[in-house]
Amino acid sequence: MKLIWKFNLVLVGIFVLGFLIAGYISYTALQKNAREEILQHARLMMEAALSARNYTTTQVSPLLATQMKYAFLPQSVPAYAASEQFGELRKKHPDYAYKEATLNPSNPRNRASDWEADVVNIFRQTEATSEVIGERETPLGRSLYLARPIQVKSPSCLVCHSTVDVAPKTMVDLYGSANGFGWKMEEVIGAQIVSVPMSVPIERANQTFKAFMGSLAVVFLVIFVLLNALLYTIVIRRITRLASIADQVSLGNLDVGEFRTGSNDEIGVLTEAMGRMKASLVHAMKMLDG
Amino acid sequence: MLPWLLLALALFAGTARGDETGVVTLVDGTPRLLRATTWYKLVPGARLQEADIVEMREREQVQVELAGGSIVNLVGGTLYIMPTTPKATSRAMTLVIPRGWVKVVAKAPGVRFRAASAEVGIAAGTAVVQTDGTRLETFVESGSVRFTTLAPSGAPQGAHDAKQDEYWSKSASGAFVPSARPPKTFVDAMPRHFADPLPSFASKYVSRPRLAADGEVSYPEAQPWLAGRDRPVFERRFASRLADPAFRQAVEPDVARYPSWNRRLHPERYAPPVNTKPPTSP
Repeated sequence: MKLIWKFNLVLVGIFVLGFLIAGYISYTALQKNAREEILQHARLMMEAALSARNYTTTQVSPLLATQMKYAFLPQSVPAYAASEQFGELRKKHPDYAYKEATLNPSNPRNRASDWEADVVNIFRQTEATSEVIGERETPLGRSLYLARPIQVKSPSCLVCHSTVDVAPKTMVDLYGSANGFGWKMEEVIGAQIVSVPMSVPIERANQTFKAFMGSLAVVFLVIFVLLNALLYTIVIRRITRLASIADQVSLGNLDVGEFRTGSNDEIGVLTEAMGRMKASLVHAMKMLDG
Repeated sequence: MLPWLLLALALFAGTARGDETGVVTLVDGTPRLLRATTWYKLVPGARLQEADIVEMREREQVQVELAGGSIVNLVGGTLYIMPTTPKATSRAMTLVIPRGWVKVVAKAPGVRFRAASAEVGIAAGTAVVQTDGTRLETFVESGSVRFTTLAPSGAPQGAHDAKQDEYWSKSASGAFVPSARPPKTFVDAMPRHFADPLPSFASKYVSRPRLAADGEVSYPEAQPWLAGRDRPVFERRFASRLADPAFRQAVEPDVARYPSWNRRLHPERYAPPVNTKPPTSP
């Protein structure tokens, strides 16, 4: 096997191995970053929802307290405020979702679906759990959800949700007396669930991965071509010429030419040494003839 | 605290000038004030006195802040501040409302509203009262309210106490009917700002604006008051208007209803009978 083939075989092997290792590391890192980004989006959305809830509780509800005596205004309910704020967001980003999934809500739109009820029950069964993260398939693609428990921590919650008798009459008029009652202090009654689409960040990560691997392949190719060109011009071509002259000299053809070199590298030194060896051989042959 | 102190001082100073009972702090529209027999254009900052009548058109609004700190907001109605009498058992001010919507935030000694067939007394609390001259409706936002049914003569006939969040209604001749919440018709018809707490602006009106006169009361304007149960009071009040030929001419067809005016305009009807029979000799 020629030297260049041996060299290229090793080079290709190294390139393939490097390509695979770099691909694995970059793919894993990019996917992890994409998931972290999705999770960060979800947490930001959750905090925005919590801000809307707190704003409603501390500033909007007190202003509407008198009006609530005449007609129930859902705008005074923190869950409604957070959901409506997210509803506005969804007009531009329909694949984002927020729900205050509740097992026994006053407003039917907050009733937990099957998978949401499972999440709520996780919080109900393990009090230490403060956050649940998961993935699920949706009609709009794969989605990551972040859930936090809704726990009755303020007696003000029970004004509307303990018994029908205590609840504001205007609220009972609006939502009826069948649902949304019987809540107890410290009870986990639902979960705030933020769903964030995974497709966009994942797609972006995949495109970044492809671009990175494509660039790496081009770099490898350029290096491969350059190394081959250098190997041929600096080593292979000079050694081939050296071997050809040495071969003719060994066959007794001393007029084949001189071992000439303008280089001081190892091949240059070898060429000069073989030149001297040829000159000694010519001198010895002349002495034998003489 | 300071605004109330200023208001109290202002009203105290006003009392010395002539029975001032409150200050007008909000005027929406072109309501008028009838003082004695003269109409005035009502402006914010105007001081109201006993026996004043405030009148406004549909949807117009006037807010009055009374000396004790009570706030009365009247929409599209008429308000008469009844003069206190030495016989009065309560220091609560009595406001006659023939018609209109009223929201009141009452503080001690409270406010009484008198409608055609009943009286609504609020010692401390917030309530919305509506009357169209026959029907009376009241929603108790907070505190408690005492309803007193009035006989046609004005004598009290029976009382009911209403609690917070209750709605009570009464037709002209019917009894009071309580309800756990106000009906939708009441809430829908209610002025929208009544659903919010009444703000106080009294501290803004320390100075007294000069009221611009807007003519004298005419007979058609005085007639509803002369037809009410306080007729003798208004007969005395508007008697000076009889000097006006136009007023006198307008009164003439109804003059028999007003004995004191009839006596003044037609003294011959009240002259002692002339004895035409010749004296008989013993």
